[in-house]
Amino acid sequence: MAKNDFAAESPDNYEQKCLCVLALDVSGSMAGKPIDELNQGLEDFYDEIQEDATTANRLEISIITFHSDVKNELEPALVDNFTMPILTTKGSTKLVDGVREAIAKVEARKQWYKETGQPYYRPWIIAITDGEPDSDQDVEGLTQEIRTAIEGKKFVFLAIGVQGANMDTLKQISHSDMPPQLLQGLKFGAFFKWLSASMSTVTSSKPGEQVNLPTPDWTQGFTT
Amino acid sequence: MKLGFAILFIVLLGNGPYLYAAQQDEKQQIVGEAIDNINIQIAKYFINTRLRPKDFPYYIQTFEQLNEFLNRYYYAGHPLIILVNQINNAKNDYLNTQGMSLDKFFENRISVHLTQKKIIGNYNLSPHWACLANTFESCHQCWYFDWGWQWDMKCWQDWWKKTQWQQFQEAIEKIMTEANAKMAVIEANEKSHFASFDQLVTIFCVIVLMILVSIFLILIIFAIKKHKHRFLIKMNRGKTILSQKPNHSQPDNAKSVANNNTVTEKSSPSPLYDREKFPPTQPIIETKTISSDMTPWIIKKWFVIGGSVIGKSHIESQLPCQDNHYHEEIGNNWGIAVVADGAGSAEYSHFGSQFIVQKTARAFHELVIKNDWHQQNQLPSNKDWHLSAKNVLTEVREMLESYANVQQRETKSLACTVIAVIYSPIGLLITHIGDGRAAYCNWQNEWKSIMIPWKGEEANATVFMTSDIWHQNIDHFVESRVITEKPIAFTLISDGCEKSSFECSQVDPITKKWSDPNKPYPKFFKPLVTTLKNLKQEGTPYNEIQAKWHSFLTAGNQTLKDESDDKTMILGVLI
Repeated sequence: MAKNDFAAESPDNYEQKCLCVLALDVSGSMAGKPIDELNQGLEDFYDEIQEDATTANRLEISIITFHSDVKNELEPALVDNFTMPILTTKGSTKLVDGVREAIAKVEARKQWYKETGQPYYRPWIIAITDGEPDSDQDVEGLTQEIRTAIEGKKFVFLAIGVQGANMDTLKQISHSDMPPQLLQGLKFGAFFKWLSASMSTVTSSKPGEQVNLPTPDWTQGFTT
Repeated sequence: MKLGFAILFIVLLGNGPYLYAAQQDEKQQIVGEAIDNINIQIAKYFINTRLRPKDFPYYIQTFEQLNEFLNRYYYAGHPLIILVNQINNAKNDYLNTQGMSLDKFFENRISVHLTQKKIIGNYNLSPHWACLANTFESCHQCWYFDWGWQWDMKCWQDWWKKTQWQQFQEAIEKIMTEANAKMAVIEANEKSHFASFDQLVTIFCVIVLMILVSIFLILIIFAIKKHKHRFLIKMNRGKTILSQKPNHSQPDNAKSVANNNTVTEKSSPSPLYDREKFPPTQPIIETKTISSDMTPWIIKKWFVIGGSVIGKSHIESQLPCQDNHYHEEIGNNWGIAVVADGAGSAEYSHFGSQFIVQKTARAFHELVIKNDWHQQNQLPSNKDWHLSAKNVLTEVREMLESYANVQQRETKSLACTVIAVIYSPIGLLITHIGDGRAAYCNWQNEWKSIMIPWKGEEANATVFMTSDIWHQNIDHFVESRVITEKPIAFTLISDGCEKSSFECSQVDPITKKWSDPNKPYPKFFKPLVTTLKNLKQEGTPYNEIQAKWHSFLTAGNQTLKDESDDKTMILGVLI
């Protein structure tokens, strides 16, 4: 270091939080390779975030799994405060209930943020599924809820379809600004890497109609 | 014979001004001496309390200049020699017991002092321990200092500086009193001298005049008696000459009329001395005390550096750097600094922010010139400033819209925030729309913030120049302030820099409540100010300083390195 270089000490500032809720399909159809890849993807995601100090202090993760039932696998927490659960499969696909649970989780967390008076980044809900939701699922209702919420800037919603997923349903529930994406093969790893990069981008972009995300390399070219 | 008398008369009259001139010279000399003595005191005070070259007057930039200044004023009177003798008389044995000859010791020190170019750092004229004094108090004659361990103790420093300042003030008082006394003596002499001389001259003139008149009369009577008839002819001729005279005098009358019509101060006959030739004495004699910042001798000037660096996340999403900044001098040590942060979600906000910084700076520059605030060294009232600021920002907003139309883009795609600071040695004027931070440091070395960023409930939510704020409650969105406290440094930053340089996000460990103290972090800014001063005073070229600043903003510490948003920081210091 040359003499007379600028150097200074920075204060300890509390990182404002960004919540990311993962609503994951663990129905019977995910058994075998898909669930293994998903588990691996989650581990990689965990490691990615831990590596970046800023994101590690900023990103709160929550995991909800749905099959014939909905389960809160993980309450919102910073990476330092949990270890990734390992998911197992069974049952059918209660997609709508799963996503509704995620929405409720987002609202609850926002309440907590408001109680402490801290500003927060707009939360993300990511739904990953490989199949058709059960026939008794209220897809219409969910569509309305998501549309209203996104227009009200309550959260960001992204649906990911794994091989064999019904993209039409996902397209229906998603908002036109953020259409569903089809995962390339089982590239959960690439998806989660992109997600962690997006998390840091989210924190620097100002709220507007479009979020400038890094270019995804895990999609299978299904875009509208 | 008449001529002779006339010449004598004129000569006597003419001497008056010359005598006066001599007195003026004497006065000038006293003034000059007083100035020199005061400069000696300044040099002495500086050397005795300053440890670093940056504390020297601004007009001393190089070691050569410093040497010149010291050689001229510090060594006048050879205080070293006096001191050496004093110490020699009192402490010779002590040094002998240390196995060192006193003369040799001082010889080395003095020669080192005078010949080495790097004079700063070798002030150790003689070590304090040589006085065998346990405390500064018991060693009154030691008006020099040393670099040793004693200096580390702040209480010594403070005591030292205080006594030095006292001594300095007393010395200046003494010099002034003496100079004034001398001036008084001269003036008194002047008056009495001149008065008596005046009287003499007047009496002499009157006598001479009377003699001349009487001689003339006698001659005339005599001539008339002798040549009566011839004189009558002469008289007639005189009459014709007399009749021509009015023509000659008319221009004179016209001139005097013209003089009366023009605005001149002279209605009485012109004074004996010429104001141009003998200018009034220097102000130094009139003032009795010197203000503590010693402005007549130390004129500090603003030195401003700025930088905008792209954020990590912008690189990843292939966005350009959307921050921009600009600063320029207005004149008389006033200037304008602007920072604009383009909205991440707006596609062409980098163009918007660049346009905004240029136009805003220009508009505020013109505002200052129009109101002449810089030459008058006058700050507007809070109300006037807010009004002017709003007008300027409205104008700039309209310019942005026209620019957007020309570029065939949506105005909202050029969205950005803006912070504008007009800086001067007497205060600051600030106005802003959106977020970012700004602060200044006062002469007591306290850093204070001067704006509150506009933030929404969501982190990073804010308003922009292009937001729909202009028709509603615009006063809610444009914040303006007039800072009347004198600044020695100031800063403007975009929000990308706020986590590294401000305390802006704190959670109370007990109540778990979050707050934004909006406090500039002194441990961040103070070393930067010091480094900037050093770089400038060492004569580092501007682009080199600029490059260092740029790399600092990019990765100067871990927090800056980890920041994903674009970072802009302008820092100005009075050097």
